[in-house]
Amino acid sequence: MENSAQALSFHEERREHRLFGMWLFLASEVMFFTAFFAAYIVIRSASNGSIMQPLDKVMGAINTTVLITSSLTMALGVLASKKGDRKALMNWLAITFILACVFLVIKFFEYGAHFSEGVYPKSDIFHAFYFLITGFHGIHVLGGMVTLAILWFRAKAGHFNTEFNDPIETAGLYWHFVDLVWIFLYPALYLI
Amino acid sequence: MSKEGGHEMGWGGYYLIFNVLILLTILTVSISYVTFVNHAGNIIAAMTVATIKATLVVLFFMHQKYEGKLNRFTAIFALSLFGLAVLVFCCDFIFLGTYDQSHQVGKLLAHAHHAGHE
Repeated sequence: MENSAQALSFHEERREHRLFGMWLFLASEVMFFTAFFAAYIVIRSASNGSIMQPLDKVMGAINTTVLITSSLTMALGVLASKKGDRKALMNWLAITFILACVFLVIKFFEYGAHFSEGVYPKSDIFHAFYFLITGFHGIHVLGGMVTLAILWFRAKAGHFNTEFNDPIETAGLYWHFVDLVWIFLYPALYLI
Repeated sequence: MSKEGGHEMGWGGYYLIFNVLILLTILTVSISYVTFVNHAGNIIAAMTVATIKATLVVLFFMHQKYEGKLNRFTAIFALSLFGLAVLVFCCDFIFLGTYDQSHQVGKLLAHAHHAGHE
């Protein structure tokens, strides 16, 4: 399969094209977040770091752990779908969904803490970046959650089996991308 | 049956990568509480650990280790664009103010300004 001179089977070729399409979409999303990162680097370096404000590292660390765990459960869900284990697939999708909810709830409390102290996006440039970048990331998490819910209902209806489990794998790629963004966001905003 | 080319990762592999990611998270948070050489050292350490974590996620969770050439090229290209953008903007900051050391550009601009007024 590694040698392109060998003919791929119908399934392998379909899988490769499907994942290529998803990677093209992820590439555009990478550039979307790259724009914000680049702006953050420019503003922060131009100010010699004086724009920096402290954030709750512990909350951020918990959120990082939650997202990494959700990536694991998503990967295990993909594995279950390939084995045709419908019950396990539904369980892993549900756990991933719940972990995403936990992430958003923690973010909700973080935002609430800022608002209660009178800190809003308009307060200063750092918080403008913080709310913008984490807000867009949160919207991506929300979109992923909608996808997970749809997949859970489709799994319940018996749409997936060992022959056809493509959407799970494709959605898994998107979910790992969401985790990937947070892996860079957390140190950039919270730790350094 | 959608095949993987015979290099399927089992649940054990995923748990191992998960544990490594958690350890790296603990490491990066710990480093942030101390001054690692100097503040620039903290930034480099944090971003290095983040890159290692991202590489693990892309290689194993996103399955890039076992993918064919088309998808691997697309993934590497997309992520390299991000790395390139960060590199370019960091270089801009690092080398700020070092370009026009002999003030040649300033002199040329002043000359052009005077020439325009004549």
